[in-house]
Amino acid sequence: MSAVAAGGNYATQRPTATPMSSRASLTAVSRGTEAVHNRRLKRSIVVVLAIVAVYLLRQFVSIGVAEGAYEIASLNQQQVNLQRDAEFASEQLRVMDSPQNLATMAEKLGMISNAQPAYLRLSDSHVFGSPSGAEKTGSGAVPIANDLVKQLGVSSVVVPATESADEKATTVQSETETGAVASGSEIPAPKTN
Amino acid sequence: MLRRLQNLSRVSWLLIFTYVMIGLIAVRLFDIQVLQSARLAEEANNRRSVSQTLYGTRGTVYDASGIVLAESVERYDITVSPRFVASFVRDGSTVTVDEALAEISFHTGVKQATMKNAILKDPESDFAYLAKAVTIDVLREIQALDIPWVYSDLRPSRTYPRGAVAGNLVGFMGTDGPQTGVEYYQNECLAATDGTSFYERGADGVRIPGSTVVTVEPKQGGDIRLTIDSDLQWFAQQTLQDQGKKLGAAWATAMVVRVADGHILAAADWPSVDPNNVDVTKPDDLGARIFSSPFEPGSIFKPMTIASLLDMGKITQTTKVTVPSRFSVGGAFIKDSFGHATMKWTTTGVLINSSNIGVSMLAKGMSATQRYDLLKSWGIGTETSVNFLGEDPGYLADPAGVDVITQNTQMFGQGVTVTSAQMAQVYQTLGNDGVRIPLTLVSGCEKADGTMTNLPATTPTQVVSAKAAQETVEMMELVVTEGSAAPVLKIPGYRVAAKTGTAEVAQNGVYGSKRIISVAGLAPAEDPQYAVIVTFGLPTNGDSSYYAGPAFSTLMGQVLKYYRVPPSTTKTPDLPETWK
Repeated sequence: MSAVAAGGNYATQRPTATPMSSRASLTAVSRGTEAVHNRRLKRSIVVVLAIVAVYLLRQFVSIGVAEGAYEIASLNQQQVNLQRDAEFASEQLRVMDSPQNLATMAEKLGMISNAQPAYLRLSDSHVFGSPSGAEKTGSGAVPIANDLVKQLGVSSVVVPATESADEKATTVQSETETGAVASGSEIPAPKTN
Repeated sequence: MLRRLQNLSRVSWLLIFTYVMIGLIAVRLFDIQVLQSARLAEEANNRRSVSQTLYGTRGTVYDASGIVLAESVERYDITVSPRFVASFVRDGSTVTVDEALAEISFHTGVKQATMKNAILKDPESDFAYLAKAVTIDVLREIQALDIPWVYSDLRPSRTYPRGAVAGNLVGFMGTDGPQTGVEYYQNECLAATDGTSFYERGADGVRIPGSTVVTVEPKQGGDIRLTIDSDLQWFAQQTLQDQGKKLGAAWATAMVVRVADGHILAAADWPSVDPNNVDVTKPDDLGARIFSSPFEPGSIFKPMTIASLLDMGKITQTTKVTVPSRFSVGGAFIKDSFGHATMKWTTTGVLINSSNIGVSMLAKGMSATQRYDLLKSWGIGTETSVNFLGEDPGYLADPAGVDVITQNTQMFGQGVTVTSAQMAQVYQTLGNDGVRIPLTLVSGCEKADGTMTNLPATTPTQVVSAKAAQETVEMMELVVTEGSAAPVLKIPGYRVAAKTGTAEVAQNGVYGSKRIISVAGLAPAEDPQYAVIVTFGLPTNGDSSYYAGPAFSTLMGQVLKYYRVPPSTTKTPDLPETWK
């Protein structure tokens, strides 16, 4: 650029080479040349070996990483599968735990729900309610729906009770006046203590 | 000189050319790097990556004790590539298409013909469904069949482990998202957002190490916690079903409220919808009538009116009323549900005998606006704080346009409509010394990061004085011990305060033979802890509130037993029913 700006101010002559005669006092050392050559060869071999070693190492690491990737993939898959198993198992458990399923299983065992409980007050042996056994009503209560019981194939593990036990699982205990227990009104109570 | 100029211009041309080229390159660079960068980056990604949807999980709905009412689960669609459907060799023997479909049918329960139709519909296509939403165990069985043209797709699904328990409250999901109930009106909390993950994979489908780039993280949905106790809810629904069938009712509702904090422990609807299988339920029964279906409440209104009159100092428990057989008002007659001669009842007697005439006489002299304000103060005509999906405020006429007859009938629950939830709120207030605590169904939304939102309103409102509320509860207790429905309302061992109500259902503006019967009450009466209301719609085997009694006492009895309330040790107050 500066040469262009200077406009035609070119050198008129090529520079001449320095004459060899000025370095005539220097001579070659023949013995040293071979030693240098050997050293260089050794160095080259070391370098080549090092490169090969690094390359091989890299290959091994790469193979290792790739294998690790397969192992990771397989372990990830295993983890996913196990998680799915666990989730499905707890899902089934929650359905088994549902009141509909429990009520059905209890009824299959011959159990009857008693909506009218009786109480015994310990302080004065006062009996509230009519302490009689529950009667089986008709065909039993139809549980409110839970389609998951069917969907998940949650089946009752309970063996149905025998016909005789199923028919009447009640033992009628001592009868007291049914329905006569009004709030606060006096009730004849046995004095047992 | 000329030569210099020529030289100069040649150089300038070169420079200009260079500048233009640089400019063009810059423009192209800008075009690629800025204008087209997104598209090119995407194209590049598409070439080297596969994308995977990371499903955000929709939140769970829990009851008060942490029982799962609605949860997201993984289901799988079994799909097929129809154009590859053919016989294949497995373990050395040939398996025909029919044999393969029979095997799938055995595991999925889908009919073989249905699957065959799906394949034959478009034999050249690459995709058709064989079975939808199968569970993981079924999927594994299908995979074990090793059929080369059968595939599977993940389908995030929603299940309701307790089935119809709280089904009408929880709602359900359809193919287009939430359809009703909590699923719908709390969707903002529950909804999740799917994310996407890009990664490079080799020909064998294994991810190339270190290449995963998650571009969009999925957003997990929040969890909703309800105040419902699912075991009690089940009992309430079961009771409604048993009694509803016995009474031949069209529908029934029940609500249990904890008096101290207004928490709804059970809000039952019958017929109950099973969110796992909604197709078997009539569309009218899919929602929660307890919030959405207002009705004329009838006599369960009376304790509320009397409490306000006590609070105003207009009456006492023993105010003497001479109740005629009929009472003339605004050119019409108000009558009682049973014929009687002129009776000398106290306020207590008016409540025990559920006298419409008595209540009208006790409220005599109040202006239309005063009556309106009285009802409004209890929350009549306003949705409850639950603000449930489709909740109805009921009907309370503007005082300016109300005729004299309606002004009177409103005091005993006619000419005004309410939902069961509103009535439960009224009884909560009566039981809580006149202090209304807003009803709560959703106790909160727990976001994925642990923060709680959607917290319920808890501001208390003193509606009537504690004295007025307590005195009303005392009188209501005598309804249970002395009233005509006493035999079915009593709960052995406990003091119970309640009021029955029979409302005639108006059809085309005229009261017909159809009834809505209900009982609302509190227990234990000496220190009310729970409010319960049961309502049966259009019963065919029993048209008086007496028939709602067994469901009330059964449910209240269970509540007291379930929450371990010790039996009462004090006696019912002795209040005069009549005077001489």
